[in-house]
This record gives sequence, structure tokens and C-alpha cells, in this order.
Amino acid sequence: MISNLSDEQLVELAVGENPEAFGQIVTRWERKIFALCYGMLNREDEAKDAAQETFIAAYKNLAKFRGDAKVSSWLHRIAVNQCLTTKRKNKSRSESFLDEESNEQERVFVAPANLSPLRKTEQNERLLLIRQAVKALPIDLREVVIMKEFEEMTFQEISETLELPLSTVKSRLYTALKQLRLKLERSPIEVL
Amino acid sequence: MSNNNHYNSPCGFAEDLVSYLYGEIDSAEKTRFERHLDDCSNCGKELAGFGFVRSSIGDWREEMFSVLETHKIEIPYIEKQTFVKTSVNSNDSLSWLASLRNVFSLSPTWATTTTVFASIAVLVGITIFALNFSYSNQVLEAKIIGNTSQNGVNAERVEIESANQPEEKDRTNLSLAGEKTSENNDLKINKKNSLPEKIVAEITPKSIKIPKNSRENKKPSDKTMANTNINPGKNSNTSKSGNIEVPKLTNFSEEEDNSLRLADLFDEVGSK
Repeated sequence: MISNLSDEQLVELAVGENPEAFGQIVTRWERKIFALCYGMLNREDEAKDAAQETFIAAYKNLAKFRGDAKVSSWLHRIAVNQCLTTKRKNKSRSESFLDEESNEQERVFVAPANLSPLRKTEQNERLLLIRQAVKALPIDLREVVIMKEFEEMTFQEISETLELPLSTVKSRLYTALKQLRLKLERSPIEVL
Repeated sequence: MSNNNHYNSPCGFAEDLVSYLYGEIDSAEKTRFERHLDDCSNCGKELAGFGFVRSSIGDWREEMFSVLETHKIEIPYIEKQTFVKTSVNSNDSLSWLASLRNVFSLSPTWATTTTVFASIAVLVGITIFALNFSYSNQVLEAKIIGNTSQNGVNAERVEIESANQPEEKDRTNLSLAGEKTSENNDLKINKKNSLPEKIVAEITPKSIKIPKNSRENKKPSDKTMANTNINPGKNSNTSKSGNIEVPKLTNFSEEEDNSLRLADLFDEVGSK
């Protein structure tokens, strides 16, 4: 059964031109890669394209995959690079235009119906605030936050993916969380 | 857990704090950090503040990201499939030599050996035949065997053997139509191919008479003999017995009138 094989075994099969093996890899990781891209880019359409390009790039470079790293780390590294490429392309577009698009998407969000009107408003404001705060983080801090919160990766996995020392990963996450906390404290929303 | 990284941490427990926050800390480190929390209000406030940040990010993820569908990832497998298909097609375009090798590679040893010997035998046969063919061009022989019926020339048969061309290396049968085709009652010999240098004519008439005036046209030519005429003439009644072996007639080019001697010979034989 191909679904019982490890990622590394699937890659070996995929290198031998077995499309089903690579399809299994895509099925396992497409949601998490999409989450990473969404957290990094903050836009659904761009995240979708970035995830697509990530798996295409992985498929084309299967032969270059080194067995010394995990397949998951390899895929996440490709995804992060893809997101950085997308962000560089977006730099040519005006920042105001991006903000208008972000506001258009943010207005779509609706708080759960079981909350009181006041709580709904607070919830919406808090989510908007954290989203903007994460978006404002430097990319090296943001990718750690997204991998930890959206991907639920371990510090060791993030370290392998980004090819950084474990202590650096923890320091970056500490710094990112501190900056996010400060931004939330400045908002009118009550922070513990 | 080491505390060698004091980046942004006033008390030097930054790494232990995030490890504790995400539950990735071993028991010894956990005990040590919890003791530190009892004494450090700053780490306690940060831990609470970070927890709120995590909760907010979690809400953002759940409320906004979880409702998003995972888009179908489409991988262009076609390129590699084309490559595989091309590889398969390359087998179809194998040369005949390669195909032959494939056949023999699958054959047992005895079959291969037999085929090799058979090929050698065929080659030897062709060589011997070619040598004989070359030799026969140098030695010409004409043979006429007469075999005619009692009533005329319907059963006459002229067999001409040609050794000049490969198609004519075997005997070429020339049939004589036993019909009178002209006023002088000549019989026309239909011949398809060019005439040989050597003609072996087998004529088995009971009696045949070659008129004198037709002898000039019967002189064999080295190249053509398209209009060879034989006139049985009036000599059909001169033969009284069938299946008479007629002596070989050679040297058609002689200027003597051989037809007279042939007639005399037939008469002589017939009288016996």
C-alpha cells in the first residue's frame, strides 16, 4: 500500500517516474504547504499559486533531493523560497493597492454568530490586528511564526527546514512573539 | 537547555520560555524554568502575553484559514510520460539488424548454430552455381533431339537452352505453333528472350525437311534469332516410323547445304 510508505520511500518511487508516489506526497503535504504560503503571503490566491509552484518545483527537482534532509523540510524550504519570490514580485506593485486588496478580503470575515455583538466586534478587531501584526513582521521572523503556528512544526523541523541553528529559531520566535504582543497591547483590545 | 542566547531576554530564559510555551522542553528544563517563573515576574508576564498572541493567531487560523479549501495541486506529469513513451517507441524503430539480433538472442543455441550452417551452405551453393554459370559461357553445346509425330509438326518441340543470361541458364522452351502462318508454310518460333550464343535445339520430328532457301535465315546469330523459320515442307510423308533419333546438327554456320544431307539421312533411316 503506497499510503503506508514514508515520505523518503515515496520520493524514491517518484524518482523512478511513479506519478502515484508523488501524488501521495502532494496529498500529505498540500494543506500544510498551503497554510504556510497563506501565512507568509496573507492572500489566498497568491498562496494557492505559491503552493502549486512549490510542488511543481519539487517534482522537477526530485533527482536533486538529498537524503540527508526530511522531505517535509525540503518541501517547506521550497515553499518559503517561493513565497519570497512572490513577495519580491509584489514589491513592484504599489503598497496602497495591496492594502486596498487586503481590506477587501478582511471585510469578508464574519465573527461566529454565537457571540454577542460587542464580542463579535472585539473578535473581528483582534483578528484584524493580529493579521496585520503578523504581516508587518520581518520575513525571517514571520516564517518562523507561520511554521510554528500554522504548520505546528517542531523547533527541530523548522531548524532543518530553514537550515538554522536551533537556538536561532527559538530566538527568532521569541522576538516575533514579543513584537506581536507589543502591537496587541497598543490596541484598545484588552491584552492579558 | 542552554542559556547561551540572551537575545531580547532580560533574564536569559528566552529559549526556555518559548520551549516551555510550546511544550518542547524536557522534564529537567521544565522544572528549572518553573522555579524561575516563581521568582521572575517579567517572564511570567511575557508568558501570559505570548499565550494571548498564540490564541489570537490560532483564532485567525481557525476562523479565516480553516474555511479555505485546499486547492487542487496539478502536477504536469506529461513531460515525463512523453519521455517514457518516446523510449518505448524507440524500440519500434530498431533496425532490421537489431531486430535480427533480438531474435537470435532469444533463440536456443542449437537453433542459432543450425541457422549459421544453413547460411554457410546457401552461400557455398551460390558460389558453385556462379562458377558453373561462368564456365558454361565458355563451352557452348547444341543438341537437337527430334521427336515428331507421324502426321506433321504439331508435336514438334524446339527446346533452346541459353547460357547467355541468368534467366536463360535453364532450358527455355520455344514452342512451335503447328500452323501455317505464311505462304511458304514456315513455322514461326516464338521466342521471348534475346538469343543466346549457344542454342540447343531439340527437335523430335519424324521427318523434317529444311528448305534450301530458308537456310540462309537459319544461320545462328550471336545476338538475335527473332525470326527463325523452319519449314516442315512436304516431307511429312517421308517418315515412316516415329521417335527417330536425329543426329546432332552442329556448325550451322557452315556454308554447305546441310539440309540436303539431313534429308538424305532421314530418307536413309526411313528406308531401313
